[in-house]
Amino acid sequence: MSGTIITIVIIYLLICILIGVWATGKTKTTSDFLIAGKSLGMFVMAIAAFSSIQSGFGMLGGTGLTFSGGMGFLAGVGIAAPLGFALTWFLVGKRMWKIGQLGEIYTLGDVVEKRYNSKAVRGWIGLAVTLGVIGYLGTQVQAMGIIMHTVFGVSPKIGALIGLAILGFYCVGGGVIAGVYTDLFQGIIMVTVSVVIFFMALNIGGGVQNITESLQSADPLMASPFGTYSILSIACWIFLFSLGAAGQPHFITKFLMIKDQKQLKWGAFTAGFAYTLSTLLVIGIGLTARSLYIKGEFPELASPDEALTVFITHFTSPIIGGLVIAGLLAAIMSTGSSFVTLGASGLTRDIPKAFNMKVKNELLWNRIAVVGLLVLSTLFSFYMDTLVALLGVFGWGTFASAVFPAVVLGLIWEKATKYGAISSIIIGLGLNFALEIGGKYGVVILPPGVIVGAVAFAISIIVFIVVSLLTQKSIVQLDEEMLDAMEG
Amino acid sequence: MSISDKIIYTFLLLVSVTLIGMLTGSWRIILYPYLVVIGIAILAGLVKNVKRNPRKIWIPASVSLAYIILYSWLDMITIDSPTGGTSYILGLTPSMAIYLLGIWPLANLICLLYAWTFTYEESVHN
Repeated sequence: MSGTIITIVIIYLLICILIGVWATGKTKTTSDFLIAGKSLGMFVMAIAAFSSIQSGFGMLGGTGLTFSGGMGFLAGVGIAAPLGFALTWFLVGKRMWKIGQLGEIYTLGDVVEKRYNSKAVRGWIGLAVTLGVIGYLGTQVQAMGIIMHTVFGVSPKIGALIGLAILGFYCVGGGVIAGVYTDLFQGIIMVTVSVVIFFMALNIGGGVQNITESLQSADPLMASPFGTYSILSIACWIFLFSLGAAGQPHFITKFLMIKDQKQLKWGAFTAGFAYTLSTLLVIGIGLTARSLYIKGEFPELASPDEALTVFITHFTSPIIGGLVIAGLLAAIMSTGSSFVTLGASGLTRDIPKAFNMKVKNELLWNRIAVVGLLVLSTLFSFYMDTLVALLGVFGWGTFASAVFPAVVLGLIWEKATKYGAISSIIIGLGLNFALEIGGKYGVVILPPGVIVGAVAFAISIIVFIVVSLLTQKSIVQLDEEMLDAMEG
Repeated sequence: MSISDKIIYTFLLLVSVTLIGMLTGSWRIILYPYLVVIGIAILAGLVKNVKRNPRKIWIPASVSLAYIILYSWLDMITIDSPTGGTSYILGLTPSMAIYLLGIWPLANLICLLYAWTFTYEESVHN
């Protein structure tokens, strides 16, 4: 890797460390650590929300999937995500913010305990979040190792440890404040790099029509919006990734962090549009690289995941290459930082409180939990690769099916009960595990192309509503403030 | 029956149909009911507005309608060919053009719709 690229990446990492040092000085309380002391403005919150959703998988893996199979992955996931921002703001934006004003509400566990007056719901949500976090973090560790290996030539394990040490440095000290401000910096890098590389890629490919004709000459499906993917999968992805966005804990807890209700107004557009712009990199490089490959002008790849790094090293200047690599690291680290503080809050607040245990010096224990989670997810990713891949792949579906009914529908519908919430969380977790593991070992009960997470998500919604209707005697009396928050 | 009950029961019905689509492997039975769910979700966010002024129902209804029109159009033109014909629109095949120039930007327009409804609500309060 060229010296210019290495220098740019080192500068990027140093800026992350400096933000961490600044944020550590501002983090004095648990509220600061978990919800940035409810101090965020619209732009910081919206860009942090977008950054936490756009992961290394979306950019690196998405480019590879577009290179190998055309637009289908983007038609399902990339295009559903901006809609997800809109739906999430409509569904829970004001509701979450208003509930955040009703006391010490720092986590989803706090939200559901307030809503259902149930410690059991808190405990189950805490468990679902912690399990998902370990998986997601494990995949970020693996992705970080690959990028560091590409840039510095060290082994992927050493690369992952370097990246994690930096991530740990700013998250342990600065918690969510460090997370959201590094997210802001990282989000701006992702968007800028994507827009620049998109136009460069179109130019390298000879223009839009040239690329289209080249793709069409090899296979008409490659010039269609669904590519070579099953339309069934794309329909499932649209459902799971747009509606399910409102069930992503690393996203919706950010509504608890903003300073006043007016900050909600432009957030959906800012986050959605930023995500849209970040997708341009995936489309631009993915389709251009494929059209060049068809014309025999692109090197053979060992894996489609190499499409992005091979494209930037062969077709762009080292400065652009360095910025793209920094953008990829940004996507990985911003998602990782959101998860690590979320997992810490589950371990030190939600699960202990579910058992009536109060953690003394919560801030210190949150910091210890961040270190613990980083170590645990690293060990998982190094030694239990299969488990991490499994947890990582179905992470979005697990969060959607475990969190969406209990939190989102629970905040809309007065007749929701704690039994409905608990059933939907258990069914969501159980179905995702069972169907995913079943599929891995050849026990396939769904039609080919159907996405496991989408099925689990639909079933958990149905279970939540039906069980709530069957257990109406357990409805809790909601006070005026709660009813006002639920009205939105 | 309260408006939130109506929203939830409609939601239950549509998600159940979507699940049937998944279990039977029919993408149309998944996608088209879901396009109505999008409108229902927006309605859930605007429930206060709609209670005050029932005519505001046009907002979620028009979003679902716009998606249904665009996906139906895409569905129709891709029945015989995945590209939707041999012509080009801004260098894209017709099917790709509907997706990238219609369906994709619509999501961002819905984000703008949130800002617009928020502004409207603010003006009513003031």
